[in-house]
Amino acid sequence: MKLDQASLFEEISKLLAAHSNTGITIVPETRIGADLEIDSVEIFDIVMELEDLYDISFPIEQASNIDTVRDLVATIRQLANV
Amino acid sequence: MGSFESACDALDYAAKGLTGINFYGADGRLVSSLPYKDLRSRAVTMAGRLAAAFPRQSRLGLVAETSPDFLVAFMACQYSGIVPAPLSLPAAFGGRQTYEWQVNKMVRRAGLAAVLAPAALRDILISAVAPEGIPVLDLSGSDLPAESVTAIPHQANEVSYIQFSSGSTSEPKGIVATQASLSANCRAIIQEGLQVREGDRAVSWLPLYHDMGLVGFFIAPMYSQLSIDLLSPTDFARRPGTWLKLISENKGTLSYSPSFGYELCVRRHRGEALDLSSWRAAGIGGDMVRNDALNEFSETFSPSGFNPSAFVPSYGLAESTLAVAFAPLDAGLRTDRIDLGRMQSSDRAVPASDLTRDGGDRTFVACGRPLASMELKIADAHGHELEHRQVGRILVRGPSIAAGYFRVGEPIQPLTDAEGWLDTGDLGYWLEDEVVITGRSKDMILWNGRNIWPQDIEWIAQKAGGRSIARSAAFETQDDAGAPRIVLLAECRAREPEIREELVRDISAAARAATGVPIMVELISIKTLPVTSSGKLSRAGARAAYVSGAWSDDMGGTAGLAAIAP
Repeated sequence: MKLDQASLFEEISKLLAAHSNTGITIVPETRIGADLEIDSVEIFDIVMELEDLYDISFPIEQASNIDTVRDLVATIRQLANV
Repeated sequence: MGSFESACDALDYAAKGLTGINFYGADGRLVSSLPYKDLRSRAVTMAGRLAAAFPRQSRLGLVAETSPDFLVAFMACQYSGIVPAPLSLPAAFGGRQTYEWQVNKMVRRAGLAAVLAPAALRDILISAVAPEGIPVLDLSGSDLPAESVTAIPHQANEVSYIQFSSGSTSEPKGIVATQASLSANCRAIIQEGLQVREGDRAVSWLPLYHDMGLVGFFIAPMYSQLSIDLLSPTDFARRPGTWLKLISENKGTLSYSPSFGYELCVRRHRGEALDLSSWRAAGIGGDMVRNDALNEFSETFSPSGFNPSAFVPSYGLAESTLAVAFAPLDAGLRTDRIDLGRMQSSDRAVPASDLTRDGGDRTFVACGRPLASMELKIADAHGHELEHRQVGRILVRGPSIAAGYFRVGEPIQPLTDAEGWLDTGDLGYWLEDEVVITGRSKDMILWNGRNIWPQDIEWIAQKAGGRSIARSAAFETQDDAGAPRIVLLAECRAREPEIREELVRDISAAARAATGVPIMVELISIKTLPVTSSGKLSRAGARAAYVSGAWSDDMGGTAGLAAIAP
């Protein structure tokens, strides 16, 4: 899969926005749990969608380090080698 | 079946047979197998090295990932007279800081001599225990000193493990399970609760750091030489269908989940072909048994052979090792529809009638009869036993009750009163011979099967709000549609609307980051939260006042609140 950082960010933002009721504008610094108000069960829906979409698997130690959307994009790039 | 005096006796016996434990990945592929024979030999080898490295009765934290290494390490502790304390794993997305803080609390509370962690989590654990300077070793035991001595197993009159309650992260409680309490509870689960028989097979995704996973789906099956198919909780959360697939493919007969696990399966079901006809005991425990969620599960999976009479609502708590009561087998859900308004005003569970106002009814599911070895009574605030349908505190007594709460350097704090009764902190009533649980009296908030402690939320409010926040109270209530909602009332010193708005935003974000659940923050005037006669904050009083609109003036004036509320 060929995806540059910007289009990856855009794609992930769309996916996150669909799970958030806050309607806030997502920027790289946005915190996924805290700012987007996504609860822990829904986080798993997102993890599953991302894993399917990019054909990756999040190791737990990396997933717990992800806080912001920027962290998420960076981790996905690293895991998917895009 | 299942009559052993210690975990080592049980494994010594199980190791003579061919059964054991299988570990599966998220896609349902078999990742590894651990026959009881191998579990025993690996545990005995590791026990010699543990006994050489740590004094008897030392406490070791074991990160409880669903893997052969964890089970080997847990049993190695049993074979070496060391006390394991299973530790949880970090959560995805922003969970690291809270996790490290939580682990650090447990390390100090239990005086852990070391923590054993899988390689992948090593760095996180090192950072969590850094202030205490204790070693972090590999969960496999590979980096233990090579020296080995003859290990002496825990005897029947000794302790077995420390179970941290899934409760408050700011005040974790280490429950001391003894070989006697563990063995008594396993025997009761096997012989009475589930009536384990030849051909049974256990399947589980439950975390091994909770009593339901550790005792229910590792130790009790081991006491009955059953094969177990395990899936990790994170893999279950990603692919709940894999749980059902394992039951279907392996002809599983015994499997448990809190209500939300059944709900998740319905939500993610994509019509995969399944045969669930072998599943004879579909247990529900760990949170309030929710009739609607379970009925939906029955409807969705009846075409796949699921038999609704397989449902076994159960009641228990880590302080009683695990189980207290089981619904009769093959009976399914027994429900009781009551008038909620009358229950709240009179503490009586009166069946709903034509007089019940619209939406003012609630359907509870009965959680069965107490195990024969356990006594259960429902009492009022003065300890007087209550009649049929009167709501009161649930007290239990019997051999499954743990020895007490552990705190390093202090005597074990007993869980029971002088007569042996444990106050469970739960409320309920008798429906003929079955107990119905209506809620928690100790303020605990249940959210999607997780226990959230109000003091944790309040502590976060204090931290995030700083000087601007005086006291606060968190509790669970319901919105107009009856959906659960967690509210935090915070006494606020600031008057400027912009500052108040910012406070609401900061506290909401911090509370959500720490707990993973949505929390509605309401700022109120200082010195308005109710206190008890001893001067302690009354959360129940705060909730009652909030529901009756006591702070509606305050809230009308809170700019930005509506935008924040979920």
